[in-house]
Amino acid sequence: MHLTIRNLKKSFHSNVVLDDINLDIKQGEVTVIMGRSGCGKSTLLRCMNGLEQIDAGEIYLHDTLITKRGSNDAHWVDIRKRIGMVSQSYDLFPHMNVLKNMILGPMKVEKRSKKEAVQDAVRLLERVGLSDKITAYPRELSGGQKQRVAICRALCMHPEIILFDEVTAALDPAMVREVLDVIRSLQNQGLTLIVVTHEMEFAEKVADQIVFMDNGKIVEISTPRQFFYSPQTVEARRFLNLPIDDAILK
Amino acid sequence: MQNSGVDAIIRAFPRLLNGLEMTVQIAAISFILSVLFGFLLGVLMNLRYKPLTIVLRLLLDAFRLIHPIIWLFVLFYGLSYVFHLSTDGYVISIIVFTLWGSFEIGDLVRGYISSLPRHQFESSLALGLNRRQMYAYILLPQIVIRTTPSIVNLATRLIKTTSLVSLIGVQDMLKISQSIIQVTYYNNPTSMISFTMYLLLLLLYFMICFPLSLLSTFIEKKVSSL
Ligand SMILES: Nc1ncnc2c1ncn2[C@@H]1O[C@H](COP(=O)(O)OP(=O)(O)OP(=O)(O)O)[C@@H](O)[C@H]1O
Ligand SMILES: [Mg+2]
Repeated sequence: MHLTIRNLKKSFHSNVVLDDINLDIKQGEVTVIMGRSGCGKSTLLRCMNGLEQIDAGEIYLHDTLITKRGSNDAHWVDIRKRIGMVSQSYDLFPHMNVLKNMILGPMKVEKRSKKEAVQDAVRLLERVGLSDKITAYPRELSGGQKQRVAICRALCMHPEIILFDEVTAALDPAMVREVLDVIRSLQNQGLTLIVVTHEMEFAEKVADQIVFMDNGKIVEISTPRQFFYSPQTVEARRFLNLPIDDAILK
Repeated sequence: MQNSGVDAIIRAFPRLLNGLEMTVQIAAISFILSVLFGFLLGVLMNLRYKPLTIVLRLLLDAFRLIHPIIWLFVLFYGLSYVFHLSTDGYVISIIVFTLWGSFEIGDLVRGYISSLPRHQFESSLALGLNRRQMYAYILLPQIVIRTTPSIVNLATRLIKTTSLVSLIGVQDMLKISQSIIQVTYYNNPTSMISFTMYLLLLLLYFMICFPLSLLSTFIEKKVSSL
């Protein structure tokens, strides 16, 4: 198992946001997390790279416990090198051009040489068709281009796992596709992807497992086929606007 | 022409230059220290450490609401009466203007940091940067770019306001002008030197501050396109 979550709990004050989460994520698989707004998807991702501290439970990366109590910043820096993240708000730093955005992590966090970092960045930008934007500033890019650069920036760190938090939510429909295509292209490279998204079609085509959350709980874990065509729970059927028949209600 | 006082001014011009030097020196030293301490204060005020925030907030208001002249007098007389220290107006001036400038810049920096979108902090951390690196590479460079126009503007206000130091006996440009006027009057009660002298002073202050004001406008234009 690449990432294992056991009995995870997280509250903000008295508001229980994640309630007894158990999840297994296999190496090289794509896990899509779905659920209504506010059900705790982002919080779950943020617990995986230490942006939120969990209240109870454990998270293991391979077999190593990464959520020991009182872990210091340096511990999380090491984990974040292995678990990258891209999120909905355009994450690029506005005062740096595309190249600088991309080589900052490799140079300052991984202490790689500038030459190596630049080579890496150039190669990645080529792959997503943005070679001509290498000296552009984020404000000069479209939303879709920014997100593709943000994905490349995460890839520059050579993570094992990448967390995507609604990376297409703020995009025009026309740009959604170009970003999703990039994510799909990562699927065959042995990377483990955890994707929060509302794009049903993408989830159906790409996911190895769908995790459906409701009100801080995981209520259904299934294959895309099963989730979209015969979901087992009332919550999932409501979410998908499917008729709720009596058999399930019992 | 006889009574205009120009000849007196020309004779005393070297002294006036010394005064100018004093004015610029106090402003420049206070300015440089203000920038250093100001950035530090701005970062400290953002640490969300309650006791520290409250103390800094109080000091900030104290320096912004109470006129620098009061601070100059309080420190100048206070140190000598209460602590029996010999007070040097020059040092006191630099202390007061440094504190004043530091809190002005500190508040600017604090405001800018707290207006930065939260995702910038998070994406820095998610990228694996530690807190020191986050400030060094992500936050401070942006703050420097954004606050530069206001900081240059502060420099002009500092230069103007330093004229107050004449009141605690520092031989700045204003103080020396006044003593030149006095001596000239004493010898020639019908002299128009007051007018001539203050006109010259007006020009001198304008000549120092105007380029700074232009610089500030220029930087503002540059920055707004970023
Ligand atoms: N820093 C925080 N402090 C307090 N409450 C929070 C915080 N972050 C999230 N919450 C609460 O936790 C709950 C889950 O939030 P979360 O952002 O994880 O939901 P989500 O499933 O990602 O929703 P969306 O689809 O809108 O992004 C919400 O009720 C939210 O109000
Ligand atoms: Mg969310």
